[in-house]
Amino acid sequence: MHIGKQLKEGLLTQNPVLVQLLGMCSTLAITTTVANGIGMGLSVTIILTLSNIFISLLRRIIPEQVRIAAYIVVIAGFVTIVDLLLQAFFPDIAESLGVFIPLIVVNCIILARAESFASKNKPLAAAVDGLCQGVGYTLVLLVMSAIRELLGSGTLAGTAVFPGEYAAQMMALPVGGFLTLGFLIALMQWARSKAGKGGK
Amino acid sequence: MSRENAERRQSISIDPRYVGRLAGTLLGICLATALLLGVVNQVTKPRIDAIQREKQEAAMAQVLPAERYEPAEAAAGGVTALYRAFEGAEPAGYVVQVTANGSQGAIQMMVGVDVNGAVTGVSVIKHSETPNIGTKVVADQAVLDRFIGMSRDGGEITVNTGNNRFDGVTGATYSSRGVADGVNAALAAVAALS
Repeated sequence: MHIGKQLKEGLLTQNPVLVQLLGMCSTLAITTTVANGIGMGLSVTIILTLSNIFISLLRRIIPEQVRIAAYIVVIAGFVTIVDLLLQAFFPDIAESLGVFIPLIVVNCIILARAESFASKNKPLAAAVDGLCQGVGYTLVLLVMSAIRELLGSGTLAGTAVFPGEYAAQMMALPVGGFLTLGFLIALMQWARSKAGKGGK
Repeated sequence: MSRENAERRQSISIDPRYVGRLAGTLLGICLATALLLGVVNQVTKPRIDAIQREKQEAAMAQVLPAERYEPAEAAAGGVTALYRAFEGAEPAGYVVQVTANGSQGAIQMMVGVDVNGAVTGVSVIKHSETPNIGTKVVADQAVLDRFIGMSRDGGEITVNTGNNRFDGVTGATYSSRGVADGVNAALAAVAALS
């Protein structure tokens, strides 16, 4: 068990969004407000952890030729369960995340972790991996949505920071999503190259 | 590709036991998942339905408060549901659920109409308009309240022009038009009814 290493990978060196460049679509689309970012991040973390555990448990049973189909069924099952539970018990979050919850089924972070980690490791390690990667994803969503909500609407987590008239609407639109993500990825690459040089 | 390799590949694809195992495993996973989903659905469905009904009733009460709503036949296009509202035995007006085209997609809204054919309230239930632009129309109750009191007497409601004028929001022309179209459709449906 290497919890520290896995956590570092999930948050920094193998961050699913900024380094592996997975799950771009949902990242760009839902990071307009901090509340959406947190809701989506937590949903993905829960589904990722559950699907990692189950795929790890089933790793010796699932034949190689049909593994992708089997993963998709397991992931889709958990997504539907989380979707139904959100609708029944947290209708406000379910409403603001809308169509993006069902779309977690095809979020490639989950399939990628199933294929590259959960199918080769024990359930406990897979659960830790799901948790760490999910936290890494949530953190990026949080940073992106904070930047976009602040610059795009002049609010932070719903509370007004400066009057909305002075906000750059562009930041709340898809353009702002691409810009923010681009800057964050560049920042991450710069930090990684710095760290790499320092190590040598 | 060597001949031996080709033969092995063929023998894998037609070995009935192997194919059976593939199909069986997949079937097992699907069945287990379906069973689990059935259980979760059983638990959550009553709650989800109740929340939906509550939301619907809250929206209806907002646009036209009344004691009782009865479903009626809707004829006009875009209208998804029409209710007659009653205060005791007295008819109080109509509540129309209508879907209009905004700038980014469908705008689902509820329109209240009194017995004289004048709008008593407009409420947007669901929309996908652009944040900070279209939402200045569909998410701003003060803007939606500008429809209150308007009717078909002056003809179709038009945005920023004409006799029966609705003052839209600058920069959100398509969203303004969408909402106005929805109100027009609702008024038309009520006119067709009475």
